Amino acid sequence: MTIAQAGVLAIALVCAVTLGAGALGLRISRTTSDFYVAGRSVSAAWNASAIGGEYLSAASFLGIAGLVYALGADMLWFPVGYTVGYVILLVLVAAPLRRSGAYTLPDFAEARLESRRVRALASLLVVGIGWLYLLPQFQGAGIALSTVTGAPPALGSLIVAVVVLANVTAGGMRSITLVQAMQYWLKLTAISVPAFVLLALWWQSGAPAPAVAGTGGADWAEALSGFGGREHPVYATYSTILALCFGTMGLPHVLVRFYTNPDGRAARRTTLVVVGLLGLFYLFTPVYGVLGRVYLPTLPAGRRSDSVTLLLPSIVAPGTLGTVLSAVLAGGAFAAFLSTASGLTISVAGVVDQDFLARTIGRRAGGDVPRIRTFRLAAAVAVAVPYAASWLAVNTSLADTVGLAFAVAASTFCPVLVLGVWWRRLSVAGATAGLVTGGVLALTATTVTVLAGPSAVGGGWPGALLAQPAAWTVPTAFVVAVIVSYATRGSVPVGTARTMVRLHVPENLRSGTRMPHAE
Amino acid sequence: MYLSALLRAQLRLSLAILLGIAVVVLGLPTLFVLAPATRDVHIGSIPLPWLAVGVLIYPVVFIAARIYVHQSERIEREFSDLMRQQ
Repeated sequence: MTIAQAGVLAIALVCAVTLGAGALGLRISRTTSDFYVAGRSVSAAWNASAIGGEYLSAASFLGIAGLVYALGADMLWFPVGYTVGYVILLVLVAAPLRRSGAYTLPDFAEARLESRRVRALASLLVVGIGWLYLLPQFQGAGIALSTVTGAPPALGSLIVAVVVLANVTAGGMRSITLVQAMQYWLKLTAISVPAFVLLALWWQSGAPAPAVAGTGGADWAEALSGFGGREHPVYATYSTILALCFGTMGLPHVLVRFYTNPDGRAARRTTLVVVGLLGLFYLFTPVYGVLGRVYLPTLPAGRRSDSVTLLLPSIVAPGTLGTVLSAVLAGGAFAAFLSTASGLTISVAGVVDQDFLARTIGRRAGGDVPRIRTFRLAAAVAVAVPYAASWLAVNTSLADTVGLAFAVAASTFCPVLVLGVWWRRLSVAGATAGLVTGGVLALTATTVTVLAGPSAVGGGWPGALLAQPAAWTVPTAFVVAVIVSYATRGSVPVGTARTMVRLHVPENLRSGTRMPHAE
Repeated sequence: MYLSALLRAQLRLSLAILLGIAVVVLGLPTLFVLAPATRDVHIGSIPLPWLAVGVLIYPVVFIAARIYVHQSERIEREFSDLMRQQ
């Protein structure tokens, strides 16, 4: 069996299992509330696996190895940031967000700030960040399929788009919880087993040192030297850490998972397990980047560094073993694209459905359109736009595009969530100003970087500030939200005191009811 | 007014944990900047930055998260006891 055949087999298997589990979920989920949040009856271990499964994306499975391979030691901060993001989320917002009882980020914004306008703004941002994050999933699928089989990249993207759409429209979130939990363990196996085998073979052959030729010499292995050859590696390191740590809580597909916890306490315990599961996974990804330097000092023509994980096995272990390992990694990579893309699609579709489609269609049809049908239409929209965009933008690396999504999330939702949970004086005008300022600054910086490159503004500090904007856009958004809130004390929501009680008081003490699911 | 006490206690705990994480996560690059010699320290054959950032940092942040979960549950338990005595 050739690598191409084995790879196709593994990818087909992952797609089939995903669709099969989705169909199983369809039989269980019957009502609309099940459809959205799995009836809130998912246990902490399942939930944590599902969160891990959904979170570990193309950037994690292929992108980190590609970055470490290309740029060296500083890139180790990416997986650290992805993990610490959950600790920050845990410490600042996990339990209060679950206690808010809302389904989505716009739901939370509306509940806390009692404003339809803030809700609309939040909805727009969810869709924008979701699309920005879906784009690299489709690109990654294209890279993976073409690396393993030589098929055109557009085919891999199409497969992921179709499978995700079929699964999301068929089963909703119940099936997704089951599928996602399974995906985590699948991905951990797919990344760790080949890593152990490759490390053993490397050790057996006398543990040759990484070849650093063509990477700027000895700098590759040294901290704070590379960061993509950027001019201010120290600033870039700090700004990236900040974006990843504070962006996680503002990602659309991350928050919706918290509503499947029975209460705030369970939300915390789930998050703790997530931190452990992610840390475990990220121990293995840099191995591929380092071994890539040992065995594959120069990439074959036409290959991106994102494909190093998939290229490695056939070089280290030619023959059957290499073929099997390649197939396992290709399958794992597809699991990563499918699970993250499914989670994002659910979240984006939920917002498109609730805030844009259901109202418009309902009005036209006299208000009698089944919710499931508008949700399916919304899912099609949620997938189609980034799929089309994946044809256009092909030159940014996977982890870079994902980094941009984090920077935008950190500059917009993070200030509103943190201030909303902890600060009673946050006003509607303050939250709006924070969202708009952070959104405009981060989106402008990322757009300029992606379209023109940092050199367009003359390199140096302006280039560094635009390429890694979080270090200045996040504090700016916070400061603007606070100053405007102080200036507009009249627009503090009237129900703030009541909302704060709801966010912070344990469920078993809620007055009037002893039931944790009272909302 | 009990709520303000609860909020303050939780916020203090959160900020303490955040500070601890910041010391580790932001402190490592600072260490590499201020004491460049630390970049070349090898443990076995692995350079210190690779070992610290690639491996050791994960158990450290997990322990920080664990401490947070236990302490915040303790704060809520004490708050519940206080409310029940009313």
